[in-house]
Amino acid sequence: MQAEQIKATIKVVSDKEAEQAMVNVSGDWLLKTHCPRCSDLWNLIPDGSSKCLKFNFSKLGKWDTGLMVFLIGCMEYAEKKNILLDESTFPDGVCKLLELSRAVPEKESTSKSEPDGFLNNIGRNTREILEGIRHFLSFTGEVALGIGRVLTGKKIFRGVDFLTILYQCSVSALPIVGLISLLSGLTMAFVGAVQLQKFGAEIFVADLVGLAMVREMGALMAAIVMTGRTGASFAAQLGNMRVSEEIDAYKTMGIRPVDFLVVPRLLALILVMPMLCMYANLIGIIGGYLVGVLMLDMSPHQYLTQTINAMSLKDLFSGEMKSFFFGMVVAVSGCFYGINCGQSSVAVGQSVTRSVVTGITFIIVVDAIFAVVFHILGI
Amino acid sequence: MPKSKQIKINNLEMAYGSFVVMRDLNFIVEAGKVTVIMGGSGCGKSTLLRHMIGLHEPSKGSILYGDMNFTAASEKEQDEMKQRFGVLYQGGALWSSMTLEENISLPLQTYTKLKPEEIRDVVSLKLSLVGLSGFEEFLPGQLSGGMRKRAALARAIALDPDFLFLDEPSAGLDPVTSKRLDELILQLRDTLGATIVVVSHELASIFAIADHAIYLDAISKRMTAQGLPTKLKADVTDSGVREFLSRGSSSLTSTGRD
Repeated sequence: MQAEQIKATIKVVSDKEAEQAMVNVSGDWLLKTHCPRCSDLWNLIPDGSSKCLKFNFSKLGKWDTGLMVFLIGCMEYAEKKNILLDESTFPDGVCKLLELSRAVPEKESTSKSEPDGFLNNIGRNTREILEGIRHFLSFTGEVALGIGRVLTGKKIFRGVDFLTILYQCSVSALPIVGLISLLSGLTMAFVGAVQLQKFGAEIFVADLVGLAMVREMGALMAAIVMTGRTGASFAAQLGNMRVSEEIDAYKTMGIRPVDFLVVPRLLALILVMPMLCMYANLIGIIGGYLVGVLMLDMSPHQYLTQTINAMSLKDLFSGEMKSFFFGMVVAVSGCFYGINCGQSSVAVGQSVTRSVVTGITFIIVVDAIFAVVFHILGI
Repeated sequence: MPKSKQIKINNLEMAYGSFVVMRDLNFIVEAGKVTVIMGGSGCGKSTLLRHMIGLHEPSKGSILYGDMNFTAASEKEQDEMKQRFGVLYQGGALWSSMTLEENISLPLQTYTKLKPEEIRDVVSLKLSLVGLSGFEEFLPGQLSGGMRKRAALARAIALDPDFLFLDEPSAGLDPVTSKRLDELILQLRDTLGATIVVVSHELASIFAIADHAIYLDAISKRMTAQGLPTKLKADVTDSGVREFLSRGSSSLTSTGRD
């Protein structure tokens, strides 16, 4: 059975001549019940009427932080108003806790905040962007040097790590890349068929799907899936390694984190992306084939011949070429944000988000650049 | 609601799958006392603590808080009980996306009806008790390991818990801070009457704060001694306990090994 709690109260007895007040504290002062606040006390004492304040705790019941907060509030206010507050009658426990809480002086607020304002904000943001660019360039420089070291035959990472990464971003990615490509092939064939049927030109669905997959969609779909899947996982993994100081551990052992962690990931993706792109092309074309053969009553032979005739080696090359660069974009954005992650779990989340957003944005940018270049070159 | 602040461990067996960590644990954590769980690294001290706070289910036996069987209680009853717990985890386990003020405010906002300004007062009191006044706006990531630990203690004592569980509170702290922390633990025991369970292998701290200590032996997987540490050191016959309490020197003198 829990004992009945007595309401916490304060009563003030003022001695006007001596300019002092006695505060009678009674009841149970517990955090989870309602306790009077120090402002309630000051309302009972008219301003300037007392120069000295004493406390009587003889009727105090149980107490915890509720009482401590009240007394600390009173002490702060008394100090501000130049009222003498007699601490000698405080319960022993309160005195000891007060002593502990005063043992370390309050940290002075480190006002690191820079001046605010429109121009200041522009300046600060510009500086941050420039700093970010500088950081990124030095990162890519380091990666390039790392690749240089690999090409000159230096062993800068463990082969088994490379194989594991290679497996993770190739074989493990096949199902999802396949599914997405199949669905895009199917969708394109459907949409195309509806339009082309109006002109009795269903046969060109094969051209449409084949060309679109090989020139654009295969590489693009594979790259976007890989950004969300592998790029994000790179960022999360390296970010966590940074939080748990594993990256610092590499540095202090004289191992370059970029060489050991970033270069194998980059090489793996560059190697794997063109293959994934080829695979995506094939599965996309199968999607179109299913629609063509099952819905549009084309014969398999007819559909395949039409597809093969529509494409040239140039088209295939343009898609493959792009996927090589997409691989680079995915790996670099994932690793850059991972390795430069902050020191907390929130920072890991931010790194992953940034790596995916940056990855997808740059994939589209690179794709647009290639479109212009291929147009000029007539490919 | 059980009133008593005693904890009784009854025939407790802890296991991960088929791997038994400790068996036949029987002891009482007295109300309003500091009980230290000691033992070598990896003997299952933290695991025992995690069983006591309901993070792991015992494979056998039970844990009683007062007259309430915590192990057999429903989830709702356990949750109510947990409101009376304060836990300091080994690594601090502060929520890294929140400032210290937000970390300590959360239990206060959830379980009390205090107004925001009252909560702010409680937060600054708790932070000052652990020597961190003025750090309200800092994120855990901006603090050193020792500071993070102290801030986590401030969070653990936010609600003036009846049962305080501390996992290695002084590990990683400098001697002065560590001593102040010991004082704080004793003050919490004396002023709030909290029942405190501390997992520790810091001898200085054990001797300073323990009213009672239990020793877990990793080899026999049992509790091999319990009592006041100073008495244990003088009287105990078990060589493992004596060696532990004298930093291994008894084994050096008796066997000459290192």
